[in-house]
Amino acid sequence: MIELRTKEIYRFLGYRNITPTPEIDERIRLCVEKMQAAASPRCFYRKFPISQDAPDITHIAGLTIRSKNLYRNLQGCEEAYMFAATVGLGIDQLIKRSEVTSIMDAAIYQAAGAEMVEAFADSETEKIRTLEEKNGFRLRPRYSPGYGDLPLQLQTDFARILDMQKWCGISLTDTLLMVPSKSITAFIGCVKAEATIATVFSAARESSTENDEAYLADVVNPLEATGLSAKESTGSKKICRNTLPETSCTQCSMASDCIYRHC
Amino acid sequence: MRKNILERLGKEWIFFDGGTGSILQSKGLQPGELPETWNLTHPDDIIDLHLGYLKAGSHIFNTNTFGANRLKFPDNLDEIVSAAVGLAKEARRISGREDDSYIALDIGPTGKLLKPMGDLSFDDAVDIFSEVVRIGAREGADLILIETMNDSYEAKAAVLAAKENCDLPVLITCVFDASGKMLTGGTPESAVAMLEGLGVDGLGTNCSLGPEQMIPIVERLVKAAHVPVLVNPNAGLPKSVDGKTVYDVDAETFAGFMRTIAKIGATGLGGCCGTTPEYIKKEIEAVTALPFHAPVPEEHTVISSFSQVVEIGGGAKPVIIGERINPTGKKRFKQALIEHDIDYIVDQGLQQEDAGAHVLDVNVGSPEINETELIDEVITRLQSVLALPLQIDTSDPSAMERALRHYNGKALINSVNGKEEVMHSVFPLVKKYGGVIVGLCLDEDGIPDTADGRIRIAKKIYDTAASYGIRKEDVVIDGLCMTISSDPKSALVTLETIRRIRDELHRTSILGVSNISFGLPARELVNSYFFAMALQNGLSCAIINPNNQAMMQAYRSFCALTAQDENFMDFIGAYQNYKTPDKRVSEAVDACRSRVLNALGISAGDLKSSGSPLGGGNASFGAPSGGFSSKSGIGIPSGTSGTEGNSSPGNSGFSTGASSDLSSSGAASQVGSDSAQGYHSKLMEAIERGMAKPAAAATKEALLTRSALDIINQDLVPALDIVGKGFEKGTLFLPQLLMAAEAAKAAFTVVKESMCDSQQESKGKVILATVKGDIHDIGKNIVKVLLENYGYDVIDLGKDVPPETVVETAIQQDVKLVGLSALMTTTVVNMEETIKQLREKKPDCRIAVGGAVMTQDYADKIGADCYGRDAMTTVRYADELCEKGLL
Repeated sequence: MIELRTKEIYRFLGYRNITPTPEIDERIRLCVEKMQAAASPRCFYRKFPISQDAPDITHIAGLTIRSKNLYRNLQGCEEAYMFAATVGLGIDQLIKRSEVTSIMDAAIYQAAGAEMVEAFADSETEKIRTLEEKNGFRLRPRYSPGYGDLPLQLQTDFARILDMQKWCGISLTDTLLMVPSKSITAFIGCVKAEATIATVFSAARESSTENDEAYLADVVNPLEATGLSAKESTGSKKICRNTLPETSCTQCSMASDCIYRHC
Repeated sequence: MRKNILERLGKEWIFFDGGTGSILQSKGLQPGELPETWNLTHPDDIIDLHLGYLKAGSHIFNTNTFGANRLKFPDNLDEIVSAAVGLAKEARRISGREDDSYIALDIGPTGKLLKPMGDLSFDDAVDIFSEVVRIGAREGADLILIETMNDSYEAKAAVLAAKENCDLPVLITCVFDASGKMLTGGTPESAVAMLEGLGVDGLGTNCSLGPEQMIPIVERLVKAAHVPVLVNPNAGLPKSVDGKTVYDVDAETFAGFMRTIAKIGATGLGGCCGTTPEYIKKEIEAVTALPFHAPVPEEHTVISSFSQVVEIGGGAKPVIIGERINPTGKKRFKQALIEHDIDYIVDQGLQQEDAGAHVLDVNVGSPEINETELIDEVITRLQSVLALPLQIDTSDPSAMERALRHYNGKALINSVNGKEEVMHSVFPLVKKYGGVIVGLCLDEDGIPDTADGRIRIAKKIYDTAASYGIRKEDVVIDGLCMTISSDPKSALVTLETIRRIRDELHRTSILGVSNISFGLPARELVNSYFFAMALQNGLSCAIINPNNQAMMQAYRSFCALTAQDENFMDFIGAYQNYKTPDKRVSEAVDACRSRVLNALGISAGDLKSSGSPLGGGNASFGAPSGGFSSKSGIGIPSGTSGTEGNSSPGNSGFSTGASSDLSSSGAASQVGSDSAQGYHSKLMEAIERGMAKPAAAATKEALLTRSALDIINQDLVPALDIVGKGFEKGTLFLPQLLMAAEAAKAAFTVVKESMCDSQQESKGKVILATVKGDIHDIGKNIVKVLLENYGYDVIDLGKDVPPETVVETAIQQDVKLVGLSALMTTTVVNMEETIKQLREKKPDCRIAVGGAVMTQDYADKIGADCYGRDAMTTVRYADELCEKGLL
């Protein structure tokens, strides 16, 4: 069972410091009960060495990504995880059905589903954190494609590199939406513990979320963050794929519009 | 000379090969690199891979084409697949095993999820698979192996593609998780039912789990299957070690578990991820030491949805088939068909599921509509929201074929009969798509009036079905219910027929029970007694109205009496609050009395407070009589008034009889608590507090004295407005708004019923659509509910809507306001395109946009007229246009 934070469910429902009525709490409770039975959480991740070129380029898993936000998020890291998690199609099925029977339930399933996948991803990240701490590493906060200026187009690379359909049952639509809808992909930077201790107070460990803020984008909406058109901010031009050592950039499927053509 | 693999499969141990990906990775395949490209770039490594398994002793080995489809290889698919088959042939030649090894054209999932959850259409999926099958067959593969399927619908598309494009044997293995579920909810039993129906030559499971975890799944597969069971597990469970995926079972242990799996009854064995020629070699040694034995298939009649099976006969409980999705004699349903109101139809399905139906009959035949298109749409919608198996009910073979093709499971098919012509048009469809077919005991000479005659036709139907390769257990005989009012002995003939189907033919039967009483009063009395008699005579399936109390009482009592209801769970669940008819009548009378008093109180108050309602009072006098007649259908227990038209939708959502009356009487008993300060009726309060049932009850009450329009304008809209304003000011949050909207919707439903025939006033038409490429539409649906509440006529185009559809609809219906929603940057692009086309072709149309990534700035940039920041904005914008007369 995945522990859900009621406060977070309220937040996803558009909470405004209003105490929800007991009726609403009861509806949420009933919905969450059904969700717990319908959820089939799955998670998969792999770790890759990374390198960065100032001011905004990150190399990972054969990808060259131009993004200021990711650059900042992974700065100082030697390695990073590519991470995918989902709570499964059962939640989407609940949403689908409730859209016919009750729009209220549909909204709750949406909100609680968002919280559910966050909570699940958090608990899985926690496992990685524990493991890495033993090796003397700390984790940066998760950073997902489609947030800030990190191109959504990277979803195709996550799908390919993590074989997401096989390991998590996550597939993509032509427009890069994930199915099941309650799924998360993210980079998780891995940084030598002394590197942080040198720069940040040791107290940062306790208030790790506050610290995390520094590595996240100020503006999450890609349209606002990039100031680009929707088409441009999707970002195929900001990723260069050269998975094969012997394959030069000109053979990559993005070659025609790749800005790293001569790299 | 090589024997056909079908002469061997299920008659001796047959071994498959093992993993591909893990071996290629050890040869240098990069993470994320498509393995199929190696057919062109590393042919020797691929031959080497095959040779490893051929030397280990595999009979069936797979071409390196798992992910080969046009989505991943748009430019060189033919080349990739041809090369793969060529390399397999070459490897076989080198190995010298040309006589006893078989090249399987390996087909994996497309990589995309099918609609409705994903965005790939079923027909496109069939197309994508067909292309691969044609190339592979042309190049000389010996069989088709479809594997690693985690969605039953995609599996169906792949099998159809294989069957329609080659004559090769078709094998398929699906992926189940440790709980025995496929990604989309399928079980071993539901998968077997559907896939055997489609005519696969062998089926089983692969990937995802290690051999040990697969054992319970294999047991279920073996029990359910009639064809050989195939098992290709991973080398244990995957673990990530230093960024690499490794598996936790070694070859020796693997072989040991495979021996157990062979003993359980799997006859085709191999391996999947992480297994190598060493694993296969050890497996072959371990299994061939066992004497071959194939399990004897169990006989059973099963239908399925994507995730559920329902067994017919064979000791299973009698099956209830809900009859309500059928326009015959239902005005409201016909109207829904003509207006294309699919939600109404789906809601009928959900109600019957709640009432206890196991299967839903789907009949949408009506002279005014295109049945083929509509049954397709209804079936697709139904199977996207509920998991009950469906009975496809049509006499039009083209509608039947379309429905069967798109049905995600093994359907019950209604029907065929003893007429030669009908049998020869229907049986080929049953053979191709699978299904359990209902055979009516009538033929060219009509309906025999003796059981002998009917049994004779039943035998003819079994025999003809068998000549098409359809098993007897996949035929259910309809003994035919003819009304006793035209032939008093007809019930006796029917009962004898079904008894003999059970006792002499040892088969299953079905009846449309309600026909028996046609032309008589108090039909449910006759129906429910006849139903119990039929059950006692061995009836396996009953097509009835599960919302009808008397019928379900007969059914549950029968099951309780015949030891078919363990611990009386169903019976107690349904009737622990049961009240006798007398008690229900007296309660209903009390409730009615207090309601009338209450209503009179309100009208008296209105009369005192102003003069004008006099006219309104008069006008409303017409309404009460309508209100009363519908009321008596509700207030008095369904026992007396309800024959088969006993639907009264407002109140019938509850299956447990007495309780529904209580809720309204409870509300009504607070006589005169309102009518004080200003104007704030009980209805308004119910809406503001978001209480749907009290809102509906208060509306019924108000309708006794007031006109529908008056209630809408004085109570409904003002109450909604109070809530809407609270939301806009930030004193209420979204759930409260939505609960109020639902309560208002319940009230509207009651009001609409009362003015069923009169023209309904609309403030204007609004198109809503979630743009192309976007499959999440909660925001749009919220806006829809609110707009409808505010009196707009919403044309909901759904999700993933191409720009052209929006433009065409706007022009055709002259709509002046379009609302578009988009979730991601990738779909905002399509929103922009839709706006562009609308501006060009329908310049007088206003456009409101909303969605997760949308901002005011961006809305301006792409030329929208209104940015829907929250749920209420679009409503306010529509009101604004309406006031200016622009809608």
